[in-house]
Amino acid sequence: MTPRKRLLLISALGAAVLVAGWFYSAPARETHRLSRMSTESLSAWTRDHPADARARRLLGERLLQEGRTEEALALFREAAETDPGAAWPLVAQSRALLQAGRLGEALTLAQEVQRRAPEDAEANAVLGEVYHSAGNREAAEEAFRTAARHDAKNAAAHAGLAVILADKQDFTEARASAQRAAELAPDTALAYRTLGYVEDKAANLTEAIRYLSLAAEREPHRGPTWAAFSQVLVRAARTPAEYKAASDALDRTEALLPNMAGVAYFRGLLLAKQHKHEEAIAQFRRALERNPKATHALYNLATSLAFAGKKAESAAVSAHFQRARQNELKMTQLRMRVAREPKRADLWRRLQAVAEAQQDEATARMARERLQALLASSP
Amino acid sequence: MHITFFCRFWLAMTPLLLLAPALCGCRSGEEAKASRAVSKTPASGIFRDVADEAGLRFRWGHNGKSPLDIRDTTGGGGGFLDFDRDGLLDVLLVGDTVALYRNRGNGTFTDVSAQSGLSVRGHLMGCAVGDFDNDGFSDVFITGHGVTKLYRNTRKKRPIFQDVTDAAGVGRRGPYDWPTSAGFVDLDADGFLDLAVCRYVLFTPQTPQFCEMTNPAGKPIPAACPPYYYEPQKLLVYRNQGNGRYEDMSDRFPERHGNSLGIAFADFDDDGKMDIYVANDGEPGDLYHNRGGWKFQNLGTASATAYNQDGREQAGMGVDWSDYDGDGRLDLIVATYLQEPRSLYRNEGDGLFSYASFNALIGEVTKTSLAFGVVLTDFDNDAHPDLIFTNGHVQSNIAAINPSTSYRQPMHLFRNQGDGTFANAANEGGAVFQRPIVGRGIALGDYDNDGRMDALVVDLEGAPLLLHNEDKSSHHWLGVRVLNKAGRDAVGARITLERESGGKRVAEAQTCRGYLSASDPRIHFGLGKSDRVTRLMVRWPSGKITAVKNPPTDRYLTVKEEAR
Repeated sequence: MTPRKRLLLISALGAAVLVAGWFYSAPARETHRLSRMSTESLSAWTRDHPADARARRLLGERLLQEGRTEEALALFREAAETDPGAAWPLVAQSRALLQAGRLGEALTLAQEVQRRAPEDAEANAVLGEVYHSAGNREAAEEAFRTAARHDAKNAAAHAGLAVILADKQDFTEARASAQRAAELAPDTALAYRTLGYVEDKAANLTEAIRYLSLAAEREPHRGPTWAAFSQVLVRAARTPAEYKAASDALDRTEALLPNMAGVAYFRGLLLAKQHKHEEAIAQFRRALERNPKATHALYNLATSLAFAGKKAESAAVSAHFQRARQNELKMTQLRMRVAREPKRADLWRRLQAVAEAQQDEATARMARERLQALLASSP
Repeated sequence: MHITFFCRFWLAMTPLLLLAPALCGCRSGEEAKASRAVSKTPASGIFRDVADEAGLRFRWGHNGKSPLDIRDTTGGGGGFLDFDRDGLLDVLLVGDTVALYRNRGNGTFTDVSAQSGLSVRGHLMGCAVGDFDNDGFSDVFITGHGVTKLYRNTRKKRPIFQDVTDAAGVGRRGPYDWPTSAGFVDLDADGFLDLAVCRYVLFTPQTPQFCEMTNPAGKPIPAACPPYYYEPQKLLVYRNQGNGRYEDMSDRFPERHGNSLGIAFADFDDDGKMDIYVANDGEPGDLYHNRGGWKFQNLGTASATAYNQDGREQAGMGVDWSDYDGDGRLDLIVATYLQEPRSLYRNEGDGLFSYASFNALIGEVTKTSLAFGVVLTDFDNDAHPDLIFTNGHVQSNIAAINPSTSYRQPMHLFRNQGDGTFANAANEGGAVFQRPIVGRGIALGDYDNDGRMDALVVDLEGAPLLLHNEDKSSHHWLGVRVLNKAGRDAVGARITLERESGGKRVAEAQTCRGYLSASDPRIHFGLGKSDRVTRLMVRWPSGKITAVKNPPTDRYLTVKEEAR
């Protein structure tokens, strides 16, 4: 070996030792040790060391994984009280609430933490997640981009962006963002969940099922993961074994998210696929009890009623559906137009009028405010 | 302790070392070979595009214009018709002009546009073909933005067609009238072909020309506006009075949603009366049930064919009817937009349809393309109707707006597997199914009378595609031409075919299929390995029945309606 090569080898080994030493530094060692504890031991440790924020955080995440949402929320609340300046307890609470399907509370907390720590990547990422769940894609994208700007290594930000890009059908970029998230958080539920979402949107159902099953394995107690998994299983189901697998996944989702209207709807679709229309009718009715505005459930209720031979009832539901859907469509199209042409006062006026007619007060208020701002700024 | 540390260290480094070639961008020889194999397109397949060698020199295109407005995006049709009754299907192409090609019977065509008399020009869309005056010769209806023209076949060599639009009373409804797909059909069984005309939206110089889309970086890019920016125009239906004139009967069709692009006819409930499905862009589809006496009921929503599985409107474009699952009922297929599954509606009887796209395995795979044309027909004569979609985006600059998709897209070919499912057969289809085009109209016809169904496809930014069927299977077939008492093609006649091997097959004589196009009026059955048909029953639009026992196979058969 030449002296030059020997020098290079020694330098490389030295660098590797330094990296490994940093990797196995005290905080990392401590986290590793805590993560190997059982939930009970970790719980005892947290009780004995109330100032150990790392242990509290790990325990909270563990409780969430085990479906003990209320206990996790209590723990995060305690952490927030112990250290009012820390952002993470609020972020964790918001995620836990989102996981439990409590969107309104999750949004309030996420906005609060983002206001307190506007440069915190996690705070922006969780706000993006909540906005996305609420259907506000533009705001979600903005929040994820802000998160990635503040911390390019934030996996949640890249995962969120992947989801947004997949929604926009930009699958090249969506896959790149999902891969980035997977590199930053390898072999995690977040990574598989994101990859599954992108592949589902890209119409690659086999891959979507594969990724989402991996995510569900890693998050056996996270409702939204099971909801996504069960939905793709319902769409793909064609054989008795597949119907059973989809039904089991829906059972699991329902146990985790008992108030989710979508579970009953997808169960109805699964039953209708098997021509079990009487049972499907009951499920579509359940979906409508939980969300009376769910036009997709109304439509399928009308269809299943017709298949079950209840033609008169089907016609009545169908008429109701057509009215509701027409209103919904009118509103959607106007929303899309104002998004494209935000300076058109006439469009905002129309949106306000349609929203008022449909008693959608939030949209009417938003349209009114935008219209006033627009009129005030015009010469 | 030290050993443990170093073991961990090397364990931590191992994946990096293993990944090194990948990180360096190196590829193994095997990978490179696999990549080459994937990129290699098949040299031969079921179809070969022979348009150029057949002499079809027509071209569509926008001369580099970009962005395109909504009027530029939707057009392009064509058709197979035997205008000179020589037993060979000729070709009609509709772009800014209309071209007519006469089939020479040797695989080539002669351009006879100059003597055709089809002199209309403009933003043309498509065509319908039918013998409206019962003289035994095919007449032609041309649609376009601000254009409706009815041409009567003169039976002469020059001009072959004569403009009779005004005399027939089917002229345009103002300069911005926008008829799209149209079809001839006998709705009242009086022996004369009525005419149904889809119309799209009100697009004028005063309506928005372009809309701002945004690319991933948030940069605004002008492109064609979606249809909901415009007032819908609605379906027109004309009754043939039998004296060369048509009467507007549109008000007999309730709840016409408008934005109509595709239309196809079928007696879906087998009650002997011809029904209509209209595919609307962004509006619910309309299924008009014919109750007789010019009474029609819109059963779109009630039959579950108006929306997709989730009760959402779809961008309905091309449409076709065929019994894909061999249960004796005609099923419906609708071509739709990007991210929408193509909608296959399985006829369950009793006026109800189930949404079969996902069970048939075409729901997911079709979502990544934008389809305009669709036909359900048996390309390999295995007795199971297959599927072709012509794909292509509406925005010529879509790649700048959404880099994941493209303006040109390859067609889709799905082979019917005989168990209610379809398999992607693009590789078997031949190189033409790998080639991205801006697919629009599609028409079916066996132009060389070899018993294998060919297709004519419009590339909105190129030349026509004449898909010559070169399927190598030795399956048997039977073609049937049905002529009514007047000697014209009996559009709407329904044939039930009984095979020795068991099972019945049902099909109807229709020219209005696909998108903006006109197809061969003959009925084509693939028979698979069986060459014995025990009985063929023709139910004529008049309601009469003709039975043919043990018809010969592997040939075209002409069945005429008896005069008495």
